Amino acid sequence: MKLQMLCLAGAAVLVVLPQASAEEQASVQADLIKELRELRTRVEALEVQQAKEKEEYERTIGELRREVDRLHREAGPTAQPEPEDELEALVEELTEQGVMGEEEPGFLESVGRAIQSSNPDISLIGDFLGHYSSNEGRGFDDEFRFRHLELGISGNIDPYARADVFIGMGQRDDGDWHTHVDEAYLTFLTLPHDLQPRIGRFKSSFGKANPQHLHALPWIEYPLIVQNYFGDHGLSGDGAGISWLVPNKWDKYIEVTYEIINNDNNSLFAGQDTDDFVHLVHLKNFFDLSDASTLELGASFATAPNDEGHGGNRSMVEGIDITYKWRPPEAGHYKSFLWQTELLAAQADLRQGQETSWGMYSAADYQFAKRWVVGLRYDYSQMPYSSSQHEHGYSTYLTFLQSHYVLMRFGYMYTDRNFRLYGDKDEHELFLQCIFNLGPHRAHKY
Amino acid sequence: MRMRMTKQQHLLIAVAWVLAAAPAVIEAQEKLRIVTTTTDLASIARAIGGEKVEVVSLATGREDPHFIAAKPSYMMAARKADLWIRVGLELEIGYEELIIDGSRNSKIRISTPGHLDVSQGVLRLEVPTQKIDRSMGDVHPLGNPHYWTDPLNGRIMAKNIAKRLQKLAPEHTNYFQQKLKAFYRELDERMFGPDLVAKLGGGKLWALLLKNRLDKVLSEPGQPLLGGWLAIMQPHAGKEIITYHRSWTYFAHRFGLVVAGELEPKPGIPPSPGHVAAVINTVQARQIKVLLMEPFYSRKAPDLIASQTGITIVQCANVVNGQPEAVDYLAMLGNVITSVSAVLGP
Repeated sequence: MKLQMLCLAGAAVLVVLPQASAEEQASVQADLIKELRELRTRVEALEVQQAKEKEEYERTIGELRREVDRLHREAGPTAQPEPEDELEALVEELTEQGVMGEEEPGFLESVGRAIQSSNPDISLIGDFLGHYSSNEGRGFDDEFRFRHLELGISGNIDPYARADVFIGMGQRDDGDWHTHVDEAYLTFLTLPHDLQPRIGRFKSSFGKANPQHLHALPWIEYPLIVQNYFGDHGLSGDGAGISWLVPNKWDKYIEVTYEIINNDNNSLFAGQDTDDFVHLVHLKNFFDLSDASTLELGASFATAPNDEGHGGNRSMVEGIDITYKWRPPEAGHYKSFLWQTELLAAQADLRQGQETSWGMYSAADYQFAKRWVVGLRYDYSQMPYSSSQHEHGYSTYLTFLQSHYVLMRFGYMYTDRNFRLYGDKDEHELFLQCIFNLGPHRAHKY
Repeated sequence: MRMRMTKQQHLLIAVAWVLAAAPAVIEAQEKLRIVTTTTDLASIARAIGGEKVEVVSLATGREDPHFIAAKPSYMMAARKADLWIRVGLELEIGYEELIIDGSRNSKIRISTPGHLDVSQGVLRLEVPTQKIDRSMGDVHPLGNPHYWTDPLNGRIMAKNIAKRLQKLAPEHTNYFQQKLKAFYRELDERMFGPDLVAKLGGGKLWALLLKNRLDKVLSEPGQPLLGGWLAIMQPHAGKEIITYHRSWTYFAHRFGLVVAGELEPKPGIPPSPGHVAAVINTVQARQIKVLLMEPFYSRKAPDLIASQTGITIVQCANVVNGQPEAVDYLAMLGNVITSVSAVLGP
């Protein structure tokens, strides 16, 4: 029964509905038309907008394309990269074939190279000497001796500084070996205004011969003025210094150096027992006279107390150095000439008054073949605390340079003193020297 | 009537002077200051940098480039430099550090943009793989450093310089690229002849040469004839020469010559009588015609060998300004080609 009722109701609805829509048809149609019109206008608006956007995109793309083309043109060869890139790859390949020897580098070899590249330069310089003197009484006389065995370690420490360390070992008069730190200093390389400070233990910049290591000299010993005024090893010590390249309109090398070091030197100054300092100023001028020749003119001044009175009694020393070098470019392997002269004057306050003294040397070196150099030197020196005592030195040297790393040198020196030092006033000395350099050693200053 | 200038006239002249001098001053300041160790580097740097750079070379070209002293005047040259260019492969190991340290110029310290080693990416020969020591003479651990005598390496050096100049002065990128292209073009034309370069392009020609396919391509019908240095040296391929120092390896390699011996028994070690006798034997046995040497070496041993064997000594600079003919990099190479080929004969 219930089902029949439902069916009837459904049929009634089906019959009534179309009647109802027929009544509202007109209004629905009107709605639809209105909606369609609205849609049309919206589509038309969209079309216009799209056309506008398309136009804009095309313009932008065109601009970009032109920009890319321009960039390609500017980049030049990279615009057609093929041949040049291919060439680069080929060169790389060929370098690999161009190695010497047949074997590929082994593992240890590569590791070794890697270690080597981060190592500082380590070198050993041997300075072996045979010495004969006509006089008796010298500690080092009529014998052979390793005067100096120098271990050099140097390199950049960080982007701002480098370190140079030279440890010297040598035989004493009694034959025992001693070790001595010759130099160990930091140089700061990146300061502005052409300033370059250094700190540590170093050979002070007095004159031309004094700052040089013994093995770098063209002679066997330091000139007499250096020995008499600053001692056998020259003026050096712990301290700090700063040098400045003086700007000048001629663009010449003018360097001023100021150094302050402990008053350790007892030849001219007070020596280790005081707590005062040595102050030193050096001026260096360098000129290129031609492609072949150069001239260096230097002036030095140093002062420090010479007693324990902290400045009560002072010593002052002034020096002038002149160095002329000649090496013709075309024949640089075979010929060169050096003339070096220094003058030194000192004033020492003593209890009995001021003692003034002076000395000088002048030396010439002539390289007459690729491996041979002959040299002469004349010395005159008074004694810093006793100007009435003086000595003249006449010496000559013959050097055979086996390579850049080994040299043999023969030397003869005649010293004429007005006082007795070792037995007789006159002294004749003969030297035989062999210097060898193992490992990379920093090039010496010009 | 005496000419008397009024105050205004004085002022005008002063203003004119200032105006005339001002652009020059500004231009001088704008130029990149380049210091190179050798004259070849200077020549290439000038070719690429043109008027945008000011180049100074430490070497004059007349000395042995291995042994340049660290003169303080070089430190002055390096003091204001914007760019330091070196050959590398340890050629400058004896003096570079002293000069850069002494110049107090932080801009050109190693591994800064102001320091350029042009050996990056060049074709290197004689790179040792075994442990080397000084008993071998002056053997360089990174390879023979005389690589600039190969024009291919000249190209690479020029590219390295151009890249670095662009980095330092990006506003002149176009200019440097144009200069580099012009340099390539000139070098390639001298190497292969202008016709071939116009037809195939320099880069392509070099690639073909390195792949040993140039002859094949040239034999195709319709190709222009080979010109330039290659054409001059082609008839001499495989001929033997003697050199003084081991400094012509790259040149010989590029132009097909064979170095049969060197006067130095080991690089940097002067000729000994025994070694000279051995060289005389080699020259006689193999009928070698050319003894090639730089002008800064002694003629003593070469003259002795020449008098015994009739070999012709060709004294030729392999650096710019080493001889009057070697006015620039390409002229230097051209001079070597002309001098050597003249003696090797038709």
